Amino acid sequence: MRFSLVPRQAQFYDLFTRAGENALEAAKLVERRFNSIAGETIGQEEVTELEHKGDDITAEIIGLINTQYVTPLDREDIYSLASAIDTVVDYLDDASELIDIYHIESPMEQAIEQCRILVGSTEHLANALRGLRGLRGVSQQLVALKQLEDEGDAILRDAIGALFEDDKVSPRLIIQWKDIFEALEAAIDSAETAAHLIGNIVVKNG
Amino acid sequence: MRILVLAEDADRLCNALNEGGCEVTVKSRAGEAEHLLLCERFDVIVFHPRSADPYFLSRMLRDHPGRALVVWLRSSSSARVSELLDAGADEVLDGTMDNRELLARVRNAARHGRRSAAQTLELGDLRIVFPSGKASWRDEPLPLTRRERGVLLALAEAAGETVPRQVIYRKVWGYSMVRGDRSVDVYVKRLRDKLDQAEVEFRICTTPGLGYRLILHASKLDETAVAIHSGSHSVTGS
Repeated sequence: MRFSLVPRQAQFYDLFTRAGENALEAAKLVERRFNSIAGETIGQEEVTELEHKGDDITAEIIGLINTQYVTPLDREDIYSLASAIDTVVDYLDDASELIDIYHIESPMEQAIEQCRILVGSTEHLANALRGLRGLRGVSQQLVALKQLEDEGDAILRDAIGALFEDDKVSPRLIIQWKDIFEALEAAIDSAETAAHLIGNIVVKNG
Repeated sequence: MRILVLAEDADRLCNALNEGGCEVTVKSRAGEAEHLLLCERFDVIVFHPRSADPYFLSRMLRDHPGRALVVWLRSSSSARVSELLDAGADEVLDGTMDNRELLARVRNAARHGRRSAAQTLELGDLRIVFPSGKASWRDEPLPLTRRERGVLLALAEAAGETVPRQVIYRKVWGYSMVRGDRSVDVYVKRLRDKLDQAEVEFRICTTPGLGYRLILHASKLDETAVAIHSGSHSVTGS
């Protein structure tokens, strides 16, 4: 492997911007998929394609770390942030895949609410990543993302509670939807983890 | 009359039924009883709630229509009896009844079960056969799935009245509906699409926040009666 002595710092920021946009696109697609479960218009393969695209961007970032002598941010921070954004898309893919695995026929309102939170969270994450180059407007995006994550926690509590309100609910349905609610929540949480890492980068480099 | 009893310690009930000339099979576990029901035909299913799980009654209603469902309690209260009857049981027996009354109530429940099995519901030109739910409009079969037929049947049984989503779900899926579940809405939408294609003269209206109701088009409302036929039985009302 050869180190480059000519800094290619702009490329890191471009890749983070692309990773953020990919996460946002994946969240929007998963939201559409949950909204159209009954119509079956969006296939899982479309989500998986974005997951692979996210993997490629992460691989590019890691490749760049390994070949650059000078990096714009700490190497560990770049690596952690790239992995965290990748995890958001992985969890989105997992949650969406459960629709097929469990043969879900129709949506739950709570899951659609979680998807709304995910689209909002990834939008703020993408904006924060876009602002990373000059560290402009990043903090506001992170605060907004944290608020959405809190809202997501409340939706999850309500969703799980709804499954156990009546003892004559189908046990099969409880298993299916508890898993899906938790997978969507994991995606929301991972967006917050990425936001924490961006917050640390801002403090270190601001 | 063949009777399946799912209960432990139901000797008195079984003796009464045997003495009345019934052929009684006793099982103490719900799994064994359900397995037997797949292989053999029974006219009446008698069960004690303690021997069955909370979903037993709804599963029986869904999977074995036409069989009379009788609950056996050692002691009962009017609240418990009404809860079980509302949930779909045909009869509730308790330990205070003498043998003659027990037998008469089981026979009555069996008659009720047979009648339910043979019914046809007619609503204008719409015809639905129980318990399969197979529907036709002006003698043309409507190409509906099992769930769509169930939803249509639940609405047609109470034509003109709003049927809450929870009630439709319970009748069609056999379980309680979870708050936020959109299954009923999804199937009503599919049903509406298919009914539109079939150019039927009735429609499913939404009662916001509550459920759905099936109504005939205004021009047909006055001239059409709802009829339920059951062999020689015929109940007609506007």
